[in-house]
Amino acid sequence: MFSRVLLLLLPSIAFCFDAVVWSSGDAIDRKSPPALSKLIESATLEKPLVLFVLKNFQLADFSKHANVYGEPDKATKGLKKWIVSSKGYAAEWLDEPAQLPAGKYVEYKGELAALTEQPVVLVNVDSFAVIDDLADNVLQSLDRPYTAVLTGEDALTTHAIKKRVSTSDMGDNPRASTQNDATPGGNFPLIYPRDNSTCLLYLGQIAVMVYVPNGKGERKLSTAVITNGSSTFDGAACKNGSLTNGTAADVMSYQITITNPSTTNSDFTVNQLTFRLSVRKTLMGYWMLNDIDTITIELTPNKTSIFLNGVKPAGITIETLTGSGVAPTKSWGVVSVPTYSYACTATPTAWTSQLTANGNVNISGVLNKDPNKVQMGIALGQLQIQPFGVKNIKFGRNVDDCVPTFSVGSWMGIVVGLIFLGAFLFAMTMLNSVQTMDRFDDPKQKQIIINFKE
Amino acid sequence: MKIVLLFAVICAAKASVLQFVHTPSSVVLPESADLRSNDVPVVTSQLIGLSAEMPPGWTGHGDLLSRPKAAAVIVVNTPDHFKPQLTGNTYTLTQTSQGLNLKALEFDFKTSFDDGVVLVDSSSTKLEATNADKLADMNVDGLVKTKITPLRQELENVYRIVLWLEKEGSRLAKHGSPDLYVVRISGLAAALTSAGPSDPDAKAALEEVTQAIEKLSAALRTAYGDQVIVEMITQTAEPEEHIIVKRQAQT
Repeated sequence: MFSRVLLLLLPSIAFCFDAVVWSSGDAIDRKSPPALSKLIESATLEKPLVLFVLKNFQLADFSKHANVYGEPDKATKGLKKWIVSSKGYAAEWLDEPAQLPAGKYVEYKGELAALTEQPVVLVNVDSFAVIDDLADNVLQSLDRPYTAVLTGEDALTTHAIKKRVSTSDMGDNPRASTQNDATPGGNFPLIYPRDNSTCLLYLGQIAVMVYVPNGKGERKLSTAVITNGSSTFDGAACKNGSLTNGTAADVMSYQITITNPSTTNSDFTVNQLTFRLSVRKTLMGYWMLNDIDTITIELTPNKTSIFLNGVKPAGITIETLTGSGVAPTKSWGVVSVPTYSYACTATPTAWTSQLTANGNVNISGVLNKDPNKVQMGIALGQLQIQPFGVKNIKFGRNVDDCVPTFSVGSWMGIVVGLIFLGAFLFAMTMLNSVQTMDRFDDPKQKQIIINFKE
Repeated sequence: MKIVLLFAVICAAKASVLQFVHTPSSVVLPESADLRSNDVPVVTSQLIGLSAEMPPGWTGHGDLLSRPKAAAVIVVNTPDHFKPQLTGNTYTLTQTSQGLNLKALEFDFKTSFDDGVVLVDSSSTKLEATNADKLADMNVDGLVKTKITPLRQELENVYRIVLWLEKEGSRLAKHGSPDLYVVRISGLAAALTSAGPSDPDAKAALEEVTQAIEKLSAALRTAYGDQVIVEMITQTAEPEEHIIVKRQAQT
């Protein structure tokens, strides 16, 4: 039973994909067919790449569809005909998704004109039932040599970096991975700086959090996650970024401004967000995200939500709420050694020290835990930061992570295990100390008397 | 150093061997490859066309549009010096903790092809056959000579498969899915129980096993028009030892 459960789990943890490659212009080496990423890279308008993408594609489905287990038949139409008539074909095992850069592909939606627009033609296929007609339509219309690939939809990604950021394989050129990321004011994920500096920041999302008292000694929390919006980057990045510099000065300083952030929160709308990340070198030789300063979070309460409309400390209705000041982040523990980067899926919240409503009313004063006061802050999501030793806009291989080696659950298991082991050893010791009698009662001898006290 | 050498000797002694007794002409096998025991299902799936996955270093491949119609995996547990001698490409398998998991291969066949696929699993204790009616009812009286259990039962099951294939005739036009035959033979270790490899009974048993595998391979080739993969995996097994201890007489 256990092995069956394991077998059922196996497909769910797999992260590889089957593919079928064929070419009308070039021979395909069946022993080592070209990687999909290379095919995408080398595709041109003169020699295009046609990608047939099918949900949950498996090679067994293709084998069944192509009737490779039945009696040989003559392929007169459809996908099999095009593969048979090609110059070379092979099955391929893709061990990671290939990136499909925006601006290099066009999706075929029944218009043949699309076949001449971009080097890569993406053909989404619903099922094997329609793939033959689609193959006939598309490939018949191509009047030039082509390479075609049939694979699953998960084998391709059109996003810049989809994986968790604690990896160093962000692609050979992250700027080329998406067109809009390369331009100033790029969208998320934020990757700064882009000038081959020795430091690097990756930021996947920012959460704006607002705590509001409810008048009963409790507070309500509302969170808006920003994953889209225009950004600008400012500041002398990587300044004093020398490994030998032992001062506590800033070694990395980013001021990031997010304009037109897109949020889905129904309680408020974030108008603008500006903050500066300050990384300093400690006297012990470590680097640390010391604080987030010059924060400005400006938000507007939604009229239909009572979340912020109930806050009237000065007897006013809040039109705009602005948080500012310096938020210390030493307690986050974003600290590592030079040449190491630090990665975290979600950091704690950096609370602003001052709030102003409608531009002039201080309703919070200083940062504190008073449940009667409003608090506003930001948390960084999908963060990776490295102030030293960055080359070619790629993080190094060494990464510190905010997830500890031993989680709470691990410690629970270890402690309970030690207790059980102690009990077991105690019991073994007790059993080992049991001894047989060395004297026995003999009727011919004097009776044995054992003295004992209750 | 001695411990390392001893460990190396033990590892070598415990090594399994994968041998392709027969492959169709569309399958190209490498000269050599470093395989692990748990790579066997992966290699078989790849050559038969269920998946494109290949173990690291494996370069064997087949024709995408002309796949083998069946695979037979014969697992023989036997002492190292007492193996069936057959011809075909041979690869040493490194043992892993997962071992030879043929259930994974059966699972792939079952999940990839809903119905119609013939699955036969034979050993000394069972003969399970899916979509192979009357396979278990084949009369094999007089075909197996050895009296050694469990080898006799295992060889009888092999001959039941052979007779069933001969009775069925060509299976190429039957359906559009590949078939899988898994045969386990572990009785050779028992043949060496009382005597060494020079014992006539043991020699005869080994010869009978070799003949049975050859006949199974020939029957499969006939049934599937040469489009079949026949793999033999020999795994090291120690001869069974009987220790007779006399009870002390009561005084």
